Amino acid sequence: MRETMAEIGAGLLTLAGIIAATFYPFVYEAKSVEKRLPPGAQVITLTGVAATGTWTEENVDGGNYWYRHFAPARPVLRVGQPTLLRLKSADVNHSFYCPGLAVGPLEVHPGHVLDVLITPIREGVFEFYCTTICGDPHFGMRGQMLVLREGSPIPAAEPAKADKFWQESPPPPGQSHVARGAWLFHRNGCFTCHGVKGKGGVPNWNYIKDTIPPLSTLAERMLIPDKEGADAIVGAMERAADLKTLSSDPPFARFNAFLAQYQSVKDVIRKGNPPGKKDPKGLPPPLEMLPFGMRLSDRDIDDLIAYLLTLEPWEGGDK
Amino acid sequence: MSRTLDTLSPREVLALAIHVEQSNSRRFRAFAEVFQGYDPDVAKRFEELAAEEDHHEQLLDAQFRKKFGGTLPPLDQVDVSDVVEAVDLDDGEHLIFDTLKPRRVYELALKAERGAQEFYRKALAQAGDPTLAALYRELAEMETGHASFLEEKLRTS
Amino acid sequence: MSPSGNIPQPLTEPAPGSAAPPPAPVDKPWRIDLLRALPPLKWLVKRRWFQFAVVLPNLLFFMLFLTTGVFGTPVGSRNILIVFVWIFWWFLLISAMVPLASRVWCTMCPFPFFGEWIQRGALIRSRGVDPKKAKEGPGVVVGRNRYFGLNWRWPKALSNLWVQNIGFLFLCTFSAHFLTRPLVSVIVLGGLILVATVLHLLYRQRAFCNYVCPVSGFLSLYSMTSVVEVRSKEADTCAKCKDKGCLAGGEKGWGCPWFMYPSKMERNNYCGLCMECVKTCPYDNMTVNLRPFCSDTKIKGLDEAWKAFIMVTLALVYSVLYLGPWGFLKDWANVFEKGNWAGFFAYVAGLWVSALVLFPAIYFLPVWAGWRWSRQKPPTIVILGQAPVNPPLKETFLRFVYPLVPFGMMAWVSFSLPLILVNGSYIPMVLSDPFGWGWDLFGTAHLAWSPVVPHWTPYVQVFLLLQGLYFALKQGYRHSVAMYGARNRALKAFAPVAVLLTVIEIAFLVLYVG
Repeated sequence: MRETMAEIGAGLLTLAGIIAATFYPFVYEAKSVEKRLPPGAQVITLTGVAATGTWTEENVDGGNYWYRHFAPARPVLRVGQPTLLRLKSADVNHSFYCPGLAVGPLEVHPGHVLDVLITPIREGVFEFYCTTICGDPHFGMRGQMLVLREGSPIPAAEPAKADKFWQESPPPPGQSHVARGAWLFHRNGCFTCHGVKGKGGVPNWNYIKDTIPPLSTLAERMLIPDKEGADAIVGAMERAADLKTLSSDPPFARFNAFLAQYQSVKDVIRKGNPPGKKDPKGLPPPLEMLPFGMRLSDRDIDDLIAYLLTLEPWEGGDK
Repeated sequence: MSRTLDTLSPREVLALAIHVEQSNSRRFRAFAEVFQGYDPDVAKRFEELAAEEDHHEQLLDAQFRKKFGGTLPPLDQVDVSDVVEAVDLDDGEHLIFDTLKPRRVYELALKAERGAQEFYRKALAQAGDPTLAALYRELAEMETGHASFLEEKLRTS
Repeated sequence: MSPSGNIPQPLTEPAPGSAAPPPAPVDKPWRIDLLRALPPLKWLVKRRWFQFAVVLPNLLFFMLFLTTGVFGTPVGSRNILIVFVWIFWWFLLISAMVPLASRVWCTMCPFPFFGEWIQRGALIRSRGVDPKKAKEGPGVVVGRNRYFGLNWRWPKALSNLWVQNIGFLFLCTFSAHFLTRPLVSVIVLGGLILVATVLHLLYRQRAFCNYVCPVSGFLSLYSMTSVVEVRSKEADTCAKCKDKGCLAGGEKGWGCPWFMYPSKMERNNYCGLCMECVKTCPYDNMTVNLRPFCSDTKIKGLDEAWKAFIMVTLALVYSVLYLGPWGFLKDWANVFEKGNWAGFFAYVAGLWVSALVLFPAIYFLPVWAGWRWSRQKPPTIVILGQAPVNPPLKETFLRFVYPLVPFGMMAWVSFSLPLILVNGSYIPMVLSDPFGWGWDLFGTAHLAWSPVVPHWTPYVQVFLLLQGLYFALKQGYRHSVAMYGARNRALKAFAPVAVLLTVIEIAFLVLYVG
């Protein structure tokens, strides 16, 4: 009898222990977050995922990190409502920066949680960024916080942009320099700032031009007058000819000025270019043209330019 | 306090011999139980040998009644410091790696019987009392008989 | 060997003092009966609830770890599962538990918990039964215990360490993935619990532990070195014992769950220190001894020998991978991060071929050379019962593989030392915040990662490695003397192996401190 009681006791102890060990952590977590919340507050968790360059509101854990593709965050805040921002990193060091709401830049270390309590006071759409280079798709690690008045409906999200998702891809087959340039443009995450096909328009806080200028008009800015001129240059580059050899029979006027421009574009890619501030006393803009000289060879840069030259929508075409 | 062999009376020696057969039988049964359902062949051999030990015990018991009559003195093999005959597995890992073959069971038993034979012979050499000496001789001969039984088994298995 | 090189010594007049070969080293092993020396320990291990009390906390931690693996942070260094299991536990196992307490891990291991619970239908008590009444009642009676489940016997072909050898090698091939991915760890550890449970239902007692568990394999090999053993006290008492409770079980306890015959146990390899025999022995004749390091010296089969090869190869490969200057090898091993499948296959092929073929072959050569070199012409008249003049090659091989046991174990300890020093500071961090959810239970969650590698680390590593070599050479030479008797033949036979061991030792030294 005593033995049987001991067996039952031990069995119950085991089961209770297993249930407690498995579920109590969740209860504890819920309680400890609740303790820190002012009345009426909401919680928004943003987790940085370096592999895809995403801030996501979805739950990222040891179980799903390896196979899931996390949707980019689009948090909705309400004017006057306290909001606990829980900033996490699922992998490497990130920095959270939402200049419009005066949050950050804050370093977010992997496996730690950074709690920030904010109460927005005005409506608006506020860009947030990662400001620590966290990987190839780092510059795509952006999003918008919507601050709405209490009760106003949440506007439908813009159709998902292709540039939100970054993926490694193998280099293209064949010898085409333009195709290789297109691949490099994607592979190095250039599109995350400069837009898909260099269309630009990505907002950059306190940047003199507000949004990142397009690259699709690079041909024009490099003083190529027309489509024929661009074709001649791209053609020569596909043949891997030295552009200087074209000087004897220049394909268009001001060819030498073009060559000078070509050099300075290459220099910008190689050495980077800090963005001008709109408000000189303000913080530097979060997005910045980085020096790519360490990662890109001379040929890589040539290929990139060749690709960009094909993007120009000459007269008559749609912009 | 365990006793040494030279302090035993003839009556006690015979009782000890009976106990030895008894404990061997139980030992064989214990092994048979463990191997039952695991290695039936081995278990069968152990069972067979346990029955054989029972038979030896009966023979000795009859002799005891004839010679001394009455009940056995309370003497267990454990009470005597010397080991007379003790069948045992020879390797602690037999059951893990299946190294105990049915044939080996006979060999182990044979080893024990030979040990007993040797033991009684030595006791015979040291015994001063002629009744005791006669008893030891008898026991040694009996063990020789057991040994040849097992040798026969080994030959035919 | 004379220091003057190859000058032959005159045979007729031996140099003074070397007339008779010195007597072969005699083992005078000391033993201290721990249960006699420590009565509270004896009281404890004799309790029926002893093992349950040790396993339960371990099991609950384990369940918590599995939860953190799935729901905690994916960051390995901040997830308690990764830090505790693969950094802390591994270090504790190889450098403390095994050398100091043999297979004490098996006493507290949570893997077979559920299986054993179902199989025994009990957590604490023992289900003793009269074998004559075996048919009355459910389950199967083995010895004098009743078990539930099918209690099949383990297939004969697998009654060895090969499943464990291959399983361990397989797990080690993917070790880089455990260390970074909590999910993989959850699958592996959860899978082991599942397999253990299923096997307990199908096969008798601890078949899983004896033949399948990949951890068990190396525990069994290296527990030979341990300073602790479970043994019988008096051989005579066991010889006279009629009941064989240690084997057959009974009311007081279960028959040895590891299929050992504890009374005749000579090696630690397959003893899981469950203390059942201490409880079942009717004469109180089983105990726990303290003994010298490296007291079990017999390798019994090729499966055990290969286990030793695999362990040393892995120690070498890991040292090259993590401590060597070749970063590309690390990338090859870590295929899911780097996606270099060709490199990964090269790594896998290299690892498996070296562990299973190359290293054993390289080791065999000096064994064979020594065996040939020390061969003598057998006498024309063979005396029955006398040991052959030339021991068989297989025996020589098995005996000379033994040195790899202390050698490999010390290499592992030496390899693990800097790992725990570098990553040790994660332990207080994850203790305070096991899930990486921002908790701070003990106020240690925000300690900075501080890789403490004191300047004396390499000295300790060198010391450990040299200890390993010392024990390897000592035990190898002893085996040689045991086979050949005469000192010069023993030296001849063992010298080539000793040279190889020294060369491997130098490779380790160069990798660790060079």
